[in-house]
Amino acid sequence: MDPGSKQSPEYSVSELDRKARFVVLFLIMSGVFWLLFGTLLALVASLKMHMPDWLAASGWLTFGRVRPLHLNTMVYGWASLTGAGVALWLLSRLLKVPVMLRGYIILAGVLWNIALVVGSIQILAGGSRGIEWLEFPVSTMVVIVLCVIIMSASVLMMLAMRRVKQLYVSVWYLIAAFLWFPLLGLVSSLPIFDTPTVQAGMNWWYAHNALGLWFTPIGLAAAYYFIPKVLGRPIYSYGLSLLGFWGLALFYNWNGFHHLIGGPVPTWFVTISISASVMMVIPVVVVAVNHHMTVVGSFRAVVNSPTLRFVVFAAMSYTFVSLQGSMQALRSVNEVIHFTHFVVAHAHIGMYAFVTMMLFGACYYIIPRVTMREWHSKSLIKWHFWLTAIGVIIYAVALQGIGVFQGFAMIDPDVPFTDTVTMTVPYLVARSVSGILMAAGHLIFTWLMFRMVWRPGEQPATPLVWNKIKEEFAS
Amino acid sequence: MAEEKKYEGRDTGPDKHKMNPEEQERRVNQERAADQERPEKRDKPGVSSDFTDPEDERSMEELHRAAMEREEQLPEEGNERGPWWMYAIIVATLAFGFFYMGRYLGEISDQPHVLFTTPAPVDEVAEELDLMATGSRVYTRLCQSCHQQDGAGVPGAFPPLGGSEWVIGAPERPVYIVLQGFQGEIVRNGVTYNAVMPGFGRLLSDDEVASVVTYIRNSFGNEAPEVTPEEVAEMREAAAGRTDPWTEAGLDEFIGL
Repeated sequence: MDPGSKQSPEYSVSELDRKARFVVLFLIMSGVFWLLFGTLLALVASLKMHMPDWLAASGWLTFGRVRPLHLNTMVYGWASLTGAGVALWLLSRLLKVPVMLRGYIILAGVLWNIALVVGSIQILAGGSRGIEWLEFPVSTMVVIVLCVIIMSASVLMMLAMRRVKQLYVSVWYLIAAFLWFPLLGLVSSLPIFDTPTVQAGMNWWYAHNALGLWFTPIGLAAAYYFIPKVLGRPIYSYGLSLLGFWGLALFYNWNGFHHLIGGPVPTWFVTISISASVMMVIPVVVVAVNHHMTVVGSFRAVVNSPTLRFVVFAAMSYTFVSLQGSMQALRSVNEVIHFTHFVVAHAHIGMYAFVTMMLFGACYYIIPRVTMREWHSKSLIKWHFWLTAIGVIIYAVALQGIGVFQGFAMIDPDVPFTDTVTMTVPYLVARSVSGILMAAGHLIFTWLMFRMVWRPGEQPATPLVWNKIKEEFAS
Repeated sequence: MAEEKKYEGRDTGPDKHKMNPEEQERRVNQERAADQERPEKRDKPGVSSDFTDPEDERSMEELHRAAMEREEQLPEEGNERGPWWMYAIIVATLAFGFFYMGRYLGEISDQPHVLFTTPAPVDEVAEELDLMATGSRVYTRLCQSCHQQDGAGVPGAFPPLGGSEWVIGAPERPVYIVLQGFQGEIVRNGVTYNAVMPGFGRLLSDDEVASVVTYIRNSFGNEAPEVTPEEVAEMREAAAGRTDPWTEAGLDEFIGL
């Protein structure tokens, strides 16, 4: 990017941030609300796993409704709304144009939230579609997709009116995400998937791509932006960025069908998917090298910056979860871990340790800039980081550890099925404990966000850098 | 705008003095110089103290400077090649991926699992039909719930098969009862039974009927010649069109005993 050689009038970053303020804050704060709601549902569902009689009297609070709603509110509420807010802010900064169609995006955000409320009530009332990741009724999904399309229009207008010569790597990912997600959402809502086999194919095509072609690009775009931005060091290699992006674009779309290993689908269908899942090693390793080589030698900075702590944790989780995913796709591995808690933990490493932690990191950078205020407590940010990081690590280790044993027990015909269930109970308790840690982290995050936006009490005047306490900050 | 060109940005994130000096020597020197200028900057009113309301009376210029002070410009990307082992991983992954696809692609067809479970040829099964094994499976599936695992039935409800003359006598009786069912009162060992047994003719093939009849004729202490699928086919043909369960008299008359 080469500023200073533009003929058209330019906006300064503070003007861009000011224009983006309301849109970005609205989307992110909506997301934070759904994060809290989704966390509550997660705790209820997790406790029910080892306390099955708890809250079982009411049909509205049975596991089969609470757990899908947890997934749907986290995915379409927290991660999508906050992710969209982060994406719009990043694009405004990177294309050096204000966020376009701001009024329409606010309208879309309001509709989106209403759709989430309606969809949530319908799931709790028993109206789930019964398709994983698509439990919301079609009406809710269609509204959400239309709202994303409005954002996509804004994004494409920003792209057309850009004031930069070269598109930074984050821009590729974000533009692609805003084109891919509407396609996924619309196709999955079409009433053409009537036969069970075809519906299962659509289900996993959609669900895996929602992660890989919507949340992953937003997460990687954030990593590609914040790592060099905060460190002040250039991204290691432009060529590797290219390879990583096109590798994802080429291979990811095929991945979903490895969920159907052993199902009544043609062998070639599953085999191609497994091959593509293994091929994902290429973009993942390339992106990991690119990020690692950018960060290497600056790990001190990672410890000191609230943003980088989360972003680097998330980027490392991305590498880990993706390599794990490639391995899990192999038939011999899948045979053991399929239908066990291993896969549940894998999904949480993806959506939580990668996507959610990345969004936390992005918020710690974006919110002070759009509000022109400062985080008021560094110790609370530290608490937030350690509670969520330790929480998700306990979650992953406990469930993936027992998941392997559970898997071997389930394929052993001599082990009664009940034993494969009871053996997991202590680890399900560990999962609830980790959930409580993460929930505490979310409460801290919400409190910090609330202080930033509605600012009760005094605000510190200077940017927060850990281990570098200023005299004026102490007073 | 002039500020965009070059500025000494203060970073929110890292403390540059604590970074690895070998790596960052040039930058650190630069930053050190910049850092020394900062205290004065920070002391200016409106820039960093009383940083409260964005809608305040500060000029755009001041706001912009405040924003720029706290971050650096996004640096241009480098153009390194990457370590050799990364290329080794890429080549190995491609090789594995294509090998896997070639090895396990299977036949491009709409058949599920053509590669991992080969469907057994049908005629071979007919040749190697094991009447007792198949019969045992059919018995477990359909008969056992009433006549019990040991074929003793339930006194007063379901008559026993073990020791029953109908079972070990002429093969027609058990075959027809399996095909069309049975109703009416009968007395066995001094106990009266009056339950309806449904027919399984539509559910079972000739092979299966022959198997299950052979099975009950040679289990529970019974011993009698086996019944072949061909015999069953003939009997099924002879009673074609009949759907009602047999009665004792009707069955005797039909068989001609």
